Amino acid sequence: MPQSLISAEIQPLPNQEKQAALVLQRLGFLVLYVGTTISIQAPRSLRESTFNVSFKEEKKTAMAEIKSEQTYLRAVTDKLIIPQTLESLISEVMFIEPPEFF
Amino acid sequence: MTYLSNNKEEQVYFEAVLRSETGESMFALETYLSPYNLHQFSPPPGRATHAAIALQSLGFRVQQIGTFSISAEGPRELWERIFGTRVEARSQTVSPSVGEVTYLSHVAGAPFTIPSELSELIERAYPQSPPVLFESPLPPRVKYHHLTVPSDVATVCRSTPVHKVGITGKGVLVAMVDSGFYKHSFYEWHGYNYQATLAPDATNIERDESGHGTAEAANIFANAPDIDFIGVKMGGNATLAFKTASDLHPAVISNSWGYNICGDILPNSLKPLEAAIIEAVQERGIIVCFSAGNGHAGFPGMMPEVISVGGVYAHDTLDGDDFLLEASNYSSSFDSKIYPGRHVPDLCGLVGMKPRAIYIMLPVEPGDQIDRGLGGNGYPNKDETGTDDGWAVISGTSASCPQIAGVCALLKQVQPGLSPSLIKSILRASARDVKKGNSNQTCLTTSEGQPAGNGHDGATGTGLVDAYGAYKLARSVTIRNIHDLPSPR
Repeated sequence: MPQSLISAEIQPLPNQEKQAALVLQRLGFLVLYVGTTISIQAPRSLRESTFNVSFKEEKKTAMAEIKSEQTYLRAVTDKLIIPQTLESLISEVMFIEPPEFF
Repeated sequence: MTYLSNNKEEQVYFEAVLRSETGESMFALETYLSPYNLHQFSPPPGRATHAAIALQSLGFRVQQIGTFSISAEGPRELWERIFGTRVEARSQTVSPSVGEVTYLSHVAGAPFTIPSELSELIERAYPQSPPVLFESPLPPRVKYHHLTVPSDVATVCRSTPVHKVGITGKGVLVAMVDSGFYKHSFYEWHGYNYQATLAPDATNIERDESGHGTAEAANIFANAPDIDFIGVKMGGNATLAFKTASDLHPAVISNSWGYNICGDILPNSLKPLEAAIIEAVQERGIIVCFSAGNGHAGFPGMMPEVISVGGVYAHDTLDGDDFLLEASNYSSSFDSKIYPGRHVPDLCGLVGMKPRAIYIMLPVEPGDQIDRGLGGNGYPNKDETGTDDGWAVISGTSASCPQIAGVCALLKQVQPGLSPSLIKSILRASARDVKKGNSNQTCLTTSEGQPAGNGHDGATGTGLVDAYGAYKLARSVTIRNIHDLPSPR
């Protein structure tokens, strides 16, 4: 994944999946999957401006056997706000961290 | 490989050959290198270091100081200026999957002069072209105890006798979510149906930059050689990759990854993954296997819906009618704080021991992170294979999970109607008891991990998988209609 793009999972309110996906698209997000949750991707700047979050660079182990590390952007969500256009459509925004290969 | 991953088209990679102590040149006409004359071309003590320092002071980056030559690199402009020469860009196909790469090569007929600072130290210097990668479908030989795929893993998991009765996973779709799936010749030569697709946020389907998925997939085929396999290459969002796999409605999804979760509440960011897994298992009837972790409190490996796979080490000696079995001190076991009553693992596949669980010879993309990271001499910290030979000796619960997924595929061929929970029960009921050893410590255990012992235990759950024992149970189970009482689980 290009570094500038950040992934998130959106929890839509019941029966609002498609409408939420549509609004997210209109806001400029790339909608990758619509299901129980909606997978989206967007540049960091769009995330920050839409949801009032910030990101800080962090490192975590990718594979312990070879001591490989991965760098990713961790979301700081203390001041997260769901914008008015999405308030009636989604309940939660969750930012995904990379997993570790076991 | 450096040529590819860093895309340094303007770098010259070269070997600088050191002047010998005898004054003889390996480049002299009618000189043939052999073990008997090689010493004639050795430089005197210290010359290699002096040459490396001289190259560095000129601006080159020294990568390695060898007995006869120094490996180094530098920008095109520096190379051309220092040696009064010219290079040109050329292209070469490295392998069918990696494709063509560009590199800088000497222009035929262009002058080449070794400068005075180097002339006493270095006889010649040659830009290096990238090799063509011919990874072998056969693994290299190493001298320590290890297992091969498919034969050793199939033998120790006892899937070989299941194959003999015609149960090989034929007609069963197995998906695997991982780092990528390089088309290693191992898969083609074994006639496996090994395919890959991308999660919507992933790129470069032909590559596996770390080598993890390419390696671990071989464990599934060891136990279920005739499955239809689809690898889903993960992008930045692991949940999306899992959902992509689930949407294919495979019979089994194997997952050798996860998150270390020590608390008693699942972070909200992982709730979508939790929901996708519950949907896959409960609503779609997909068997979902997850690694327990290697000293991690692995999530989703701790979810009650999944088959949580730990690790057992099989020694090369027999103990009665089985191999001498011991809980792997590299694999996790723990009691989840998030899901009350949930012990991890359910059962085990094969995993090596600390320090690095070097145990199973597996195919990787030549020169990838694993190949380079584990290659070289120095077992048990290095695997004694080459750093770009396309093979690595690894394991962890990343290996044991797909082994169990392969056995699940065998059971699905025997009885396609078996539910995920019934398959888990069959696997657990038929596992071989492991009485020795301790698991790795996690944030949810003491520093000793958990001990193995007589019967079900902390370290190994119900023990090491027995594919043949599971087969004999599965073939006799009667699948009930969902509306019958008692209801199937």
